[in-house]
Amino acid sequence: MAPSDLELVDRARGGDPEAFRELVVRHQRRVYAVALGIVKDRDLAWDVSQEAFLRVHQHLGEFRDESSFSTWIHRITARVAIDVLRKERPSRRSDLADVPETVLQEAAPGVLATALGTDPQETVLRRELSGCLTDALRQLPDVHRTILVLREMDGLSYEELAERLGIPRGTVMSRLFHARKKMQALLTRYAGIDAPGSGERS
Amino acid sequence: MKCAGAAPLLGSRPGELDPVEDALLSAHLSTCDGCRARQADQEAVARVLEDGLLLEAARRDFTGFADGVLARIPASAWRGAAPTGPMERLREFLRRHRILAVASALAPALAALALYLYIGQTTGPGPSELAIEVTSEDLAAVVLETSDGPVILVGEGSDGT
Amino acid sequence: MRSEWTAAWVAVLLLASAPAGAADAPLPVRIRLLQGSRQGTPGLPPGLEDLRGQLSTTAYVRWEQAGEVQATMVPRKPVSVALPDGGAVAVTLVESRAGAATFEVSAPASRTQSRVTVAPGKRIVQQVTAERGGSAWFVTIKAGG
Repeated sequence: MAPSDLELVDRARGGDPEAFRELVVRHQRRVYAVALGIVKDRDLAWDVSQEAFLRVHQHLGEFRDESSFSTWIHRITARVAIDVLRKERPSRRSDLADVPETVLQEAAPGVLATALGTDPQETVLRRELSGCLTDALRQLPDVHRTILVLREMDGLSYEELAERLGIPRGTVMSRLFHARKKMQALLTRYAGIDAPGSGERS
Repeated sequence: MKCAGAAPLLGSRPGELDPVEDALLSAHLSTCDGCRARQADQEAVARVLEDGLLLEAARRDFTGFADGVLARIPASAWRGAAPTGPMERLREFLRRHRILAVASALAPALAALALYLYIGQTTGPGPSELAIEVTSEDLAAVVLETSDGPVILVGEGSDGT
Repeated sequence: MRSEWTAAWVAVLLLASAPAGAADAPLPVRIRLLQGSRQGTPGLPPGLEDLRGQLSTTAYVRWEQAGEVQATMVPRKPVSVALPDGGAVAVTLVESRAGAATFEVSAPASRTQSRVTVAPGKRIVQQVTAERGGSAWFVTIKAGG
């Protein structure tokens, strides 16, 4: 009954405002999620999201049917968000070429995964952590937060991340590891999961 | 391969590692409990991240978002059929009033009688049919079309209930 | 303003008259009563997983199922779903054809009436009470069981 994204894109290209409105309504929340992950601030994420849809509209003619519309929108959103972030904060040099040995000397790896369990739908803890997620995300440095969101929300590959961020593939990989470790430390602290002797300080 | 070398390889997707990296990582993981556990942690963080952001998005009230986007697109950008036949004119009329219906959710004091109508278009051949009609007395109704089906919400009434 | 609305409503009724030859086959229908809340631990019980996409478009983060009715519906015979704090929602099958089923949902508690046509397999999610204390009641209707 409901038209597909591609049908709506066709109609919107043909000048149908209702088709475009429908596209906005369908994708607004995921777009906002991507934006929020990168810019942290809710009001800013709202503005970024609206700006992203404006750009989507401007570039509708360039969308090729081979890729998914959802992926395309996300990429545009991430670009807008990163641009906004760069304007707000001047970029700092990355200081993570390799993963230092000390990061790995924490005790009890696997604590978070075990606590969360393998069935993602069932655990109360997972829901609680999701609730504190944005607070935890906010405490990450911009470079870590950005690369995490691009990887996990936009699904970018190592190659795409390297190209997008202008860093070598090796740096992408170690930066992701480092970002997830920091995130994990924040989440385990929020959840009060016992991780004795953790060597990670965010 | 030591743990510090294996660490950046954790969380890779199929095809992202070259054959050498792949082999070294597999060999290391087969003997290192710590790195297997770290890998599980990395995956857990990834899942929570997506969940958490989508949850925030689900919490947020998106009333006015689409209106805000469309308001910033100049009317001249909309090419295509100007209202011609009676069906087109009715659709145009109702489209304006849908904006009113959404706006009245924000200003309940102004909504005496809110009538919200949505005209969907069947994709098959033949004349378009009315897909959804909603009448709401004193409350603004909003219809969201998703790929699984419609979601119909009602807003606040003028008496604040 | 009011006369404009009346005219539009009348016009819509004329457009919405059922086409000739509509079949009136009995239809298995599954109706669930749900409560959505802004507060409380966010989550979706496993039984409502199929609704995740639609429910996540709302501002409610915590969902519970409070009732379910499975019925074989025939046109013009309403099925009543009782709301926990009194009142009821009436769901009526208006017509069912091969590619589409039309339902009328009457929810006096939210002073709303709707008529929705969906393809089999799609689900209608409709709010049936106005939000109070951060919660609201919904029904979800799926034709074809």
